[in-house]
Amino acid sequence: MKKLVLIILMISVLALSDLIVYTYDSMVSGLAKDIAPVFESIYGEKVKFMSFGDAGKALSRLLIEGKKTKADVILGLDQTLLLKARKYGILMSYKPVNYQLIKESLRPKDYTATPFDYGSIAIVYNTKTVKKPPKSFEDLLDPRFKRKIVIEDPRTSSTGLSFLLWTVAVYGDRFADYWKKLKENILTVTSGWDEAFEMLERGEADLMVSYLTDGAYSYYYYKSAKFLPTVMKEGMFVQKEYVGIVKYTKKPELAKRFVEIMLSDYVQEKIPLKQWMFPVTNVKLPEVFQKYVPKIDKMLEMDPEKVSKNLDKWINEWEEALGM
Amino acid sequence: MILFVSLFVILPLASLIFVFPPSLDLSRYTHLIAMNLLQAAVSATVALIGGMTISYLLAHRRMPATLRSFVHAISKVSFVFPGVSMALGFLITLGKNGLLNQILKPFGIHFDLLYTLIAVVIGHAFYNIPVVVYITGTTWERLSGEVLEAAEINGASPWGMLKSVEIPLLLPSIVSSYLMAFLYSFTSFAVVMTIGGFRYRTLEVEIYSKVSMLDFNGASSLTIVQMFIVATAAISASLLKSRDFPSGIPKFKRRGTLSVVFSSLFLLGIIIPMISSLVYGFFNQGAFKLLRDRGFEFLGENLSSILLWSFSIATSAAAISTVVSTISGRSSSRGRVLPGVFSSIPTAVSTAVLAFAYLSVLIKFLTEDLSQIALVILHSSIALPMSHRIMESGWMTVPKEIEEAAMVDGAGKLRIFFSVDLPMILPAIIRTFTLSIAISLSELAGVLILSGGRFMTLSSAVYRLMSSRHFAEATALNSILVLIVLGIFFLGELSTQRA
Repeated sequence: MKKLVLIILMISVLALSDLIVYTYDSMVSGLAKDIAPVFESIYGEKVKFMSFGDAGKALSRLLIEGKKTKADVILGLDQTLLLKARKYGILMSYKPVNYQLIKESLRPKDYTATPFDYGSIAIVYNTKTVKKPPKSFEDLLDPRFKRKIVIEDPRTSSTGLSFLLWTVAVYGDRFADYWKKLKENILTVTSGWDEAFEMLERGEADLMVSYLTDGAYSYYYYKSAKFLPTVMKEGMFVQKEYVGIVKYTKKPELAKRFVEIMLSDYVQEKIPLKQWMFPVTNVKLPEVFQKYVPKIDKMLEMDPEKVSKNLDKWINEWEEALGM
Repeated sequence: MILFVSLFVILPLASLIFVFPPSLDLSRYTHLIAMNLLQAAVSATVALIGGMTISYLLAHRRMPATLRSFVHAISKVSFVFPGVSMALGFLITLGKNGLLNQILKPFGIHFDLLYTLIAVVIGHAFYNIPVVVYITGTTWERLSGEVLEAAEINGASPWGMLKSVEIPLLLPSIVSSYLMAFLYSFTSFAVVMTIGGFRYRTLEVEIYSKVSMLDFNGASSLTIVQMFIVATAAISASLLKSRDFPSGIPKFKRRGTLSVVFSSLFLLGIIIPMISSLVYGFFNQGAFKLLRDRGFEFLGENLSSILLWSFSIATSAAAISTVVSTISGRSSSRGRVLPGVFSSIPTAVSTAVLAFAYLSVLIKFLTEDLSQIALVILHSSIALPMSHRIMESGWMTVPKEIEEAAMVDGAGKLRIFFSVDLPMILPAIIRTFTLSIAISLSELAGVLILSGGRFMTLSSAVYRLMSSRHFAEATALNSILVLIVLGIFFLGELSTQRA
């Protein structure tokens, strides 16, 4: 009898509250709107997306709240944020049923979190004001770009952090020297990607750290390729985004289903035009992707272990180089 | 008041230092601190020069009454004008494709101002010129004409008179207005965050970003530095306030068309960012339509819930600060010193610091409700210095004799309050209440630190929209915010004037 009451109580608690997903702003106003109704119609449960700024802020929130968190799922962590989440042991391991659908090169070695999209960061420039785009990191130091580049803060933005890691991947231990020179050309440092892109759109900045798919985005929305990515000869830097289940969730089964739906064809097919990233499964890419996303010859990746060991040191060096 | 400030200002600050012990190695922040001090000193100087010029003209030249009252109105408005709206106004006017550059384009001039020291200084000067005018202008206008005319008879030139008579007489209010402008610029948040870039940050902004990066001990170190500097400036300013000066019938004013033109132009410069901030949302192509098309929904919230949050926080905060300052204003008006001293303590603590202190107390059990309550207390605390001053002068209008007469007639304390005191101090209560609402609605740093994104107020929604590629929507929402704040503010002013 006691058990029955308990079960009924549990069921009613489950039915009463929604699945809560912590994520970033542009996810809430974008892809999330496609996921919510489908999730609801398949599983009969509501899903609520909450954002606090960018993905870093969502993770910070989760870490502050700890056991008391209402979050069941965290959506949109990249490799480095994932490392942090792993360090604090905030996620529950789960191997998705659809694991095999993920492209082989992207399959994670452990199951702390599941990748749902990936892309490469890139320097994106305004084609109206920059006639000769930079082709290498050395080009970026050219005085003609003085006060023209906007970058994101690696301490708050995953894009910014990827860019910092990219410079480490290219310059190794001497990366801080590169930043000291780059400082002259940096107009400002924003806390997130959105703010930086806003500045590019308003014409305040001419170049920014953004994504390889931006040209396709620009063409898709404005029928003009006003903002184009440039491919760096040193190699491009890959960023993956993950979905993870919060260890303290009271709805693990529902949370697992959320992970599965992220790998479904329905969501994966939406990823190119909603997230402007590449899907992790082999769904067909839209035409605009095939046409306007430049081919990458050289991929750079950082060993996550090395990153996690040195990240604080690198951030400190970066702060010092920019006088932050 | 004493209890409130001890409980909600002093105690949390003590807890902050206890919970997040600051590291005392400040060497890595010296650059930041030096830049912040430099920026504030330059901003305040520019504001002082501009503000004094206008004050001088107000005191010495005849001006149309409308222009004069307009100057006074603007100088009051700047106290409540939302920082985020001002920042937006600067983006619109000073940006690469902003108003200024559009106007200058035919002349082939282009300014690349944003994210430079000049931009920050211009921003703060414009914000603070009205503050300087507010403090020095009224004193200057009340400066006794006899003193000045005596000097004139003795053959003093206008410049000589300014140098050796007026400025020395006005010195306390000049210095105190400089310190106020310095304080505002030193702890500036929204303006610096929006147009300061990474080179020119304030400790206030840095404390917020350290908190949002969970570097609590770093934030705590900066807090100590910030508190020390701010308290020094605030205490010096309050020490200067009570000096006497010869007031009397103002001096005869000379006519000056040129000065009318000059001050009108100057005013225009000050209000253009304000006005453009207010109206841009209406004229910016389809900004409101965009809001409407989205069903007034953005960043996962809709307008009605944002309005509800904003107003419930603002009205609760205003109610608390009004009640507290009504009580403390009474004892101050009856000659007690301590309530006044305690009411000015929040001035010596910046908003971000106080919000961070609350966070340190609540961090272990922070929920949505709790952080809203914390925000209410925060907003009532920051409104206290102004509320207390208004209520104190409100109570001054109540003659002690009437109360005593009522007491003799056998009226109880409550009865006296409601039927004797209340009608007389009602205008002050209304002003305190409306002003506190406006202050709460305009506040940003505290909301960002305490809400942690769980809820938004109008101010924080504008800021979030601005920095998340919804610039058009931000301008529309900002127009709503400015309209509401100005509306409430003028409603308060109007109802007190009528009374």
